[in-house]
Amino acid sequence: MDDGSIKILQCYSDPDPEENFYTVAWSYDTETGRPILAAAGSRGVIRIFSLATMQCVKHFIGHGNAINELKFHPRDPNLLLSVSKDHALRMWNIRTDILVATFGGVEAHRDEVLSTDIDVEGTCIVSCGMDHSLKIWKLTTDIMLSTINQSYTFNPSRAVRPFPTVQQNFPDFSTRDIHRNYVDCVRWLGRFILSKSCENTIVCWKPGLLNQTELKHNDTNVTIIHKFDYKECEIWFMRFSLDYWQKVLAVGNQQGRTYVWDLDISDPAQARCSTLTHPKCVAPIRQTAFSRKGNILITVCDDATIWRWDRVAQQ
Amino acid sequence: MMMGVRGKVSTEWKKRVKSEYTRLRSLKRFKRADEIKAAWNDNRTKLAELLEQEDQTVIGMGPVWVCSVEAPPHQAVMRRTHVTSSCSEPLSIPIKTINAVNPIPTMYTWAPLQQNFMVEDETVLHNIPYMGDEVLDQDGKFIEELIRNYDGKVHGDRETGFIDDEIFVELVDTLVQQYQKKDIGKDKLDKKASVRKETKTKDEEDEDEEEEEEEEEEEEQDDDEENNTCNKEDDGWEGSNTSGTKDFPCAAIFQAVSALFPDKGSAEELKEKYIELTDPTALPPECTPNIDGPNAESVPQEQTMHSFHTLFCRRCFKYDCFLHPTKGSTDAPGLATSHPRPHGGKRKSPELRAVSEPCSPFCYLHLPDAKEKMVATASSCSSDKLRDDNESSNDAKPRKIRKHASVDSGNEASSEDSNDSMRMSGRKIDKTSTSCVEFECKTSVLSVNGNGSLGSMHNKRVVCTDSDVVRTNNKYVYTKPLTLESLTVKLSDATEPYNLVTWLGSEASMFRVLHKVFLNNYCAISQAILTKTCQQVYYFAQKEATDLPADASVKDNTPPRKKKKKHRLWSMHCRKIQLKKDSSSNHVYNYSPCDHPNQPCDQNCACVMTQNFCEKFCNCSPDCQNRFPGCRCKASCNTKQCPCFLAVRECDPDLCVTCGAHEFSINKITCKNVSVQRGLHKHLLMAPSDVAGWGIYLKDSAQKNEFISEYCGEIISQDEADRRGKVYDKYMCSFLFNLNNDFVVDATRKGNKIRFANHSINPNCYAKVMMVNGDHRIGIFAKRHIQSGEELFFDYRYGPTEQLKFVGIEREMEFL
Repeated sequence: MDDGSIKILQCYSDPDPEENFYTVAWSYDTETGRPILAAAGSRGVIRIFSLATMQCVKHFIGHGNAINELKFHPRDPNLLLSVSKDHALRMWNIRTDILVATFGGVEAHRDEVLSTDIDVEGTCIVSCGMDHSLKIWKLTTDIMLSTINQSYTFNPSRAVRPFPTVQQNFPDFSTRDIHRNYVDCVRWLGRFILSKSCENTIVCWKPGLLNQTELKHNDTNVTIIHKFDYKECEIWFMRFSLDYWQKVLAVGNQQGRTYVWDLDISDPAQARCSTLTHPKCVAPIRQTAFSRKGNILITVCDDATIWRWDRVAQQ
Repeated sequence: MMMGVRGKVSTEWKKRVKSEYTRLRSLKRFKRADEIKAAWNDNRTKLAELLEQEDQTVIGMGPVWVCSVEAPPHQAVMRRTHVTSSCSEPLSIPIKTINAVNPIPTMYTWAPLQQNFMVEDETVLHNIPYMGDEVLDQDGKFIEELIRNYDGKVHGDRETGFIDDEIFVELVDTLVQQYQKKDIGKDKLDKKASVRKETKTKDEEDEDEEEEEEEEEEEEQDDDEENNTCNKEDDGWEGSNTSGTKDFPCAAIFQAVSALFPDKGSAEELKEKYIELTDPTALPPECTPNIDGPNAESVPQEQTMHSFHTLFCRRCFKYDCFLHPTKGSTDAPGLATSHPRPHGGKRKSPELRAVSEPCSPFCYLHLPDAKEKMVATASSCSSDKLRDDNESSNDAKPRKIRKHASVDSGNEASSEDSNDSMRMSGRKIDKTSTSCVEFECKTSVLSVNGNGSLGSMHNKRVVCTDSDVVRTNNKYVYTKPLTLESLTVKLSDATEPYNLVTWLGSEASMFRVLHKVFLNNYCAISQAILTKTCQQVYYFAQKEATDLPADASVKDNTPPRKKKKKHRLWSMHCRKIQLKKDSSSNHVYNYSPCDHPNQPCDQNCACVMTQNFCEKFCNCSPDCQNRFPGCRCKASCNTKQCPCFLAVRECDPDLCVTCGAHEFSINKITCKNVSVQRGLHKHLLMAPSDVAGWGIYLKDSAQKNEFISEYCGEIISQDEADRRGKVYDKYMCSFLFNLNNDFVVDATRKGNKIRFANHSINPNCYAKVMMVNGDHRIGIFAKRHIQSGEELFFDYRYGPTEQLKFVGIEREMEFL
């Protein structure tokens, strides 16, 4: 609302009282342009909602446990990436209902996968989890590209064999040097990566050496660009967020404080941090989200409150 | 005096490393601030451009905001949600209940396997598992206990700081430069002291740090005199006396770095990494030298075969097999799983028989001294044999097993059987010799490549220095027409060819390898080398024999099996098997090939001690009393009549030839006791279980005792299983299966579909551990006739080793 308030539009609930939705992701129907909302949680079932008809139009089962985060591919609104407690990531084509790939197994995550992100161009996935590790999976390999294409043309009624889902056991890069605890949030920032653990810091880093552009398998090097420090955020499953233009970064802490950094600066060391506080906002802030322009920040707390912060004109 | 150094790393060194590290880091930070800034801005600009571009791109239709806010007609009966807001009216809208969907049972990702996979112990807890808040609240002690299992080591439990390759190399380099000259003596002391100092726990150490310093100073004075006597090798810098070369950092540096950055690996690993990073051309310390091409080195046989001997698995016939890794998963003797070395020079193959007839007109056998020896050996054949018997305490019957290359190699020529074999290969060589003659007339036209450049391996041209003979593709080519007489004259001068022929490094290395295989069959060796005649080989062999100290001939100390008492032997064996089954001992140990040269398999043999049979992979004689003889069944080997079946072993294709276990084609095998090794499993279907979680179903029916599937997984040590089991028990889901006293199969991370079989007290399947060609493997068999589509169960309480009377730690498998 223009007046700074919040209005509730729709409300859905699952018949199973055990269901607990952890994550949502927005996309749109490529034919009609109508909005699509994907949601998933503790039961490991991905729900696809059509807001125009107020229906759960599709669901996907396959993950062997809870789903911790959902992300849509930035260049293909039909590709949905889900990360799960079952130690794996899965990529779905929600248009044709096909499981395109699973990323899990031998050298994949050894414990729950907590967060993931796909870069702006849709070339690389980064994932992180309870095993303290961050892993990068390329989407530009021949097998991935051809399988994604095939997922649009595959006809299950005519095919003799099931769809040849890619079983990716080996990431293209993996590190456990950035964090020393559960890594619960990760985002691409161009060719850099922002990630956090419960160590009161968001680390901006890149795989390999500073000037290295190609990912090397078995590379042990990582370059830390900057650390954004804050306070009192030692519990896990606390997500930070960036706006579309990736100029503002926000994270909440367990005391209800929100830390906001302006990334549109020429020296990361000069990054200024603003703290947003409100006397009534005292519960842990699990997630934050910016509007597309980056002028509105929404934060949600454990006490079921939603907070809206509007950016006032720069002084 | 209190000693205060952990492990072998002195505090002094640690302090140096730490201060140097901090100095480098701050230096680096300062130096790199600009670089970082540049990279940041570059990234920022590119990202902004990209986002701008993406913002313009419309995929498909492009998004349109359509959101139904109209309440459905039955809204009066719908549950409503109420929202209160601080800045507007309270809101209330109906809740849309979505369709119910049944989730699938819980399953964690696992990698499919077709064969067991051995993994090493993990001594540092990978990460603290999250069991849900309830478990944590109820049982806070669990995590503590878990960490204690890993001696308090968890990934990232210590502030280690960040170190990358660049800083690592700089750190080591500066440490070398700074401390090299000024305190070599001190370093000696540190090292010396550290040996005597005892390990301390971490907690203690921090407190004692100050004390230590004083103590060390004291000690310095105390031991000053002793230091002077210090060995040169103990010097901090290895190779510091070699002029011109860069000093190599001492072990203490790596130890200290490793202690400060435990994530980065052991001191040894860091050392290797340093070498790799500083000298990209350096070869690993142990490797096969260059044995091919014009620059090949002339090296002993052991070096040529190094990779083969250390990396090739002689049990799986492949390099880097997953089941018998070179590095054993544990240091305990008897658990070593490394590849056994090749047998001590004994061979069975019939094609290795030597020749008595010359392979060609210029065969080494024409040489006078060689001839003499041939005659001598032929006449003294019987005495030879006798001596042979004494040497090896062998059977009276001539045996096909060949002796190892004997002391004075070429001279101590062929015994009776080698003569036979010579004849065989001699025939083969004859063919080539005819082609040689053919070439004789043509070759006058052929010119020879003056410098004898080397082509590919298969088309080598080598010009002998006396330029009489050139060999191309295994054919002799004479550069100038030669009469046979002149050749003989030339060759009769025994030393000349040998003196004049140059042996390339690759040829010499190859000769040494082939000599082990073909022994004194120089014709065969020359055929394999391609570029040398058998006479040249012969002379080279003579030279080698005099140059090198002869190998001690391998003696075969195994008491021979009395063949005439074959029958008794059989019954004895059967009794032995029975005895093994009934013996009070109920422990089954992992088999590891025994290797005790010159010792028979007695009470000191690893196999005998662990009550295992010797297998074909053992380094003992094939006649060893402890070897299992295999079966002589002509039927299907699925009753206790078959000694293999009785001994819970699968038939060995090398031992049991009458049952067809050795047949390549599965259709030809009558033996039913080869299912695990041949992977003759049933088609299994996975679906949610009728009982709990996931279940496994049989597609086609199975007969009683029919093989269903092998239970595959990671092979882990019992210690590792205890550590992993603690976590699995908490999750109430375990895929651990005892394999034997030493190892456990864990199908949690890697496994096959049978891992989903559920537990039942009235099961339709049973598990048993079988010895399959030297490896214990778990087979799942039908307990009764099973119809197609039935879900499979087995009783976890009766461990698979029950058949072998093993009573161990039982682990329950439960599925949530």
